[in-house]
Amino acid sequence: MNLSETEAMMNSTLQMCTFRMSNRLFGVNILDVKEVNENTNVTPIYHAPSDICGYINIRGQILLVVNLRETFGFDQRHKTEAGHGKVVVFKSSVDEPFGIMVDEVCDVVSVEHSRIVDRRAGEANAADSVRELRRAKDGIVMGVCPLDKELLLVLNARHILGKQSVKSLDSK
Amino acid sequence: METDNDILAEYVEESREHLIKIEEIFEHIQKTGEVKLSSINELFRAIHTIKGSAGFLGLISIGTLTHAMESLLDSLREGRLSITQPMSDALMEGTDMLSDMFDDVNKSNNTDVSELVSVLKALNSTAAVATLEPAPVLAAPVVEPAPEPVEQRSVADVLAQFPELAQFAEPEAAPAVQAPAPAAPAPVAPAPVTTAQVAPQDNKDNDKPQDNSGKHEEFLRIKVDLLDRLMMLAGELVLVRNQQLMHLEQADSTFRSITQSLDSVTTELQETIMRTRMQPIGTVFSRYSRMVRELSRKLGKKIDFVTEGDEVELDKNILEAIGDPLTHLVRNACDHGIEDPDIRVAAGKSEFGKVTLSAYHESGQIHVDIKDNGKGLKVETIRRKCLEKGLKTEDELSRMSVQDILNLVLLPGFSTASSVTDVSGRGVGMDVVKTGVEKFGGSVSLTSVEGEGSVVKLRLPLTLAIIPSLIVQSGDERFAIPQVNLEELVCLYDKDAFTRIECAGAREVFRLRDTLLPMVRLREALAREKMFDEDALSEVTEQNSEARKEMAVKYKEAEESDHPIHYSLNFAVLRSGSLRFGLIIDRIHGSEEIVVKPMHRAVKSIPLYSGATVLGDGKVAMILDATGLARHYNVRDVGGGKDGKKQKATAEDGTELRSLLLFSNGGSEQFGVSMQDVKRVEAIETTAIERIGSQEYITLDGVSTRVVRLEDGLHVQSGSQPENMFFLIPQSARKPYGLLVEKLIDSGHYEVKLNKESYQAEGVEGTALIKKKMTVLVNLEQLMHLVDGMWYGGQA
Repeated sequence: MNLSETEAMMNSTLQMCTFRMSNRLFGVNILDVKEVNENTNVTPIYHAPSDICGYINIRGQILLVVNLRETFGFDQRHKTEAGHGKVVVFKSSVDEPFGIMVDEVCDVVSVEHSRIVDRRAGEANAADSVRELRRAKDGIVMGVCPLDKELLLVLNARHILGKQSVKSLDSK
Repeated sequence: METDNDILAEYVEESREHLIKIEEIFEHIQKTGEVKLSSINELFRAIHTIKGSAGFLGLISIGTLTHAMESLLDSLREGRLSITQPMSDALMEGTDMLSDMFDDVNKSNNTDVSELVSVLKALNSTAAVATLEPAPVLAAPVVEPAPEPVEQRSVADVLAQFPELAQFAEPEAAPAVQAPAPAAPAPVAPAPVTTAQVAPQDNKDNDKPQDNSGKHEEFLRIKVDLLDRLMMLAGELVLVRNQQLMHLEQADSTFRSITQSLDSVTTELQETIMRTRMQPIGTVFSRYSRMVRELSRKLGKKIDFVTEGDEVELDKNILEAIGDPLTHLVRNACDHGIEDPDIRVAAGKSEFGKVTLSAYHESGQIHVDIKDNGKGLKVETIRRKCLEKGLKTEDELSRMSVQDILNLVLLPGFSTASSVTDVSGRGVGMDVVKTGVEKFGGSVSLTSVEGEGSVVKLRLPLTLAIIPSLIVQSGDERFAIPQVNLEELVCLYDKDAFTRIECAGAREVFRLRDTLLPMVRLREALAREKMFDEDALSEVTEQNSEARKEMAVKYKEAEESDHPIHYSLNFAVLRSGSLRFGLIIDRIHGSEEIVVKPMHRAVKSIPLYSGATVLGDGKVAMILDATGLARHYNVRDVGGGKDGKKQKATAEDGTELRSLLLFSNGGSEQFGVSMQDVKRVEAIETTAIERIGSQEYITLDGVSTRVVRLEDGLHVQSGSQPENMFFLIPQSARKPYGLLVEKLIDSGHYEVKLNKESYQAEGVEGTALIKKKMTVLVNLEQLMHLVDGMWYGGQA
């Protein structure tokens, strides 16, 4: 995202589709989301990077499902106790068809753009978890937005699959 | 300026369509040898339309040429002139020139059309001179059906006017035309001079709309991506339908009937949408008649061009993709296949060469054959060429069958400029054809008889997106293996499951009919992300040999305890290039037509898969890539080196690798027939054999098939006549017959060193030592001749 875009967005409100993974609250721009689907039947893709769950079929379309818990290095045991979760499917304008596996889908939240704290702004403001994330996944986490009760981690869907593989980003 | 270009582009597009129509008409005229007034009218209209816009778009050359053509056609149309061969030649040339100009319309004005225009004008001016031929046909009113046709001009007469067209007349078409229906308008109005009325009417003509003067065929231009989208949506609808069907059980009757209609409508919808992408192959074929025409003119050869199966439909993408390979093959056939007329005559053939393009359905694929009756390929020359180029060694060649040697011309590197003359020209760019066709899942094969011509067979998938495949399972997951990679399936039961897989070094191998087949365990290949090295391989091999030992112990225990356990091991023999390997899988589900979806960008680099697909139950399955799998598992041709050496030692003394079916006739003798001579083998019960006189028959698929026994023609031991025997049906049967044999021994590739001296008899090729046993190689065709020369191929 370049500077002028950022400025333009500063004054606008963002509708966030929020969801939970390993008890943390995440959000993506709702305009990037196509639909939310029941996690149907995942076909594993052997030899794929570890953060890729596999393929699912949504009405004849084959969709890649990403497990962000693995990407961020969350402990898999902290999986929310909500059955086998749901898949947030992104629009085709975002990337080739893909979705992310989440534990639970929450409300749509309106956030003013100015309230999203760019994580580059200051280490001090950021929670520990965020710092940790930052190291793991550059680019995916756009920033943090404090809500009433907790922090919302704002993700940029366009960066989830990245241009390079996940691992090469790690080493940066 | 922008809009001008748009108009121009639209004009070119439109004109091309008209040109295609014109070519179709000419082709029809050539094929049937009849010129109908309606055809002339249609030609006139098409040329007129092209001319119309040429003027204001500033396309002077096109305008001038079309004007001249139009004038000539106009004279023909109004009956001032009757069409002659020079005229149709000139018109065809004009059409060819137009289509060249439309290829680069902006430079069309540089094309010199004056010569052709003057020819056309000269032809037209004869109109004034030519006396108006009084309608030659039907001059006398034929009101009542005359006992014999009155004054009918026979087709032969008409064709006399078109010496060039004579060839197109089918012999059956020659008899004089039927008397016209009594109801025919009696006094013939200044009948158009065309030969329309005399033309033989065949059924095909009746199907074709002939007088659709005012009507326009209703076509709509639709963007392909819109169609693709429609197709995808139809796919989605099918899955929604499937889900609904699943819930049908709890439903009441109203819901049930609604679902049923939804079901049938959905199926029909999907089929219709699929059909929109299918186009008749004739649209591609028609292109070549012009090409052959031009080539024969240029080469000074006389070539008939025949197409069959124009109506066979193929997916648009494939139609587009086969254009270039076909061009190549047709050109090859004309250029190098068909000889010069004098050579043909000297060889006792008709001076007209024949190139046939035919398309037909067979086993779920579309076959396209390009056949010529030219000089064929010289096997010797191909061999020599291969040796010179170092593509194959002497030993390798001596082991190959004639068929295999012929197919060497498909090898890349075989074709070079110098081979144009050396190897009867064939093989120029044949590898280009091969790679072109294989790129979209087709295959090429070639047969040729020296002096009689060649046939190139293309096998094409119906659509690119749907491929037949075998569904297998490993662990909990199912995988699809494209049928093209699959050679055979092998199941080992009980003891075999743990005894037949052997270890060769770090690898597991299986002896499949005397060749060593390297084995790949799909489960292990999936479990290990790193490419297999020697260590990994030996680890896998060791683990499995341990497992086998355990199985053996358990099996033995179970056997003793009277509760035998049953083991089974399945593997699929896959081929990737020249490499063959066995893929061990847990279960085989059966075959399914699958829709191939490409891999997602993020996982595309995994070599194991070539795509993914949705199976019938809605679950996604990965499509395995045989090449990638072999590479990942580090498969090398284990048997190759060793076998190669062995064969080398014997190759010099005339040993040949042949594919044989071995059988016995009850006695102790062993017999063999060439696998390629056998169409299929039926297991039959001897009680079903009926006798008529001295001959025996059996009914197979409703056809009475003559039963021939080996002892009918050869001095061999006759068998004990068990109840169940086998029946070999030969490939080249002109009449239904088959050879009765008692026991099948084996089939496979064997090194054969033919001995023609030790046992000489009609119907026998010779003897050879196979599996350490003297084997009599039977020549099926000769045997049949021998047994009943008159009966078999009596007319030949």
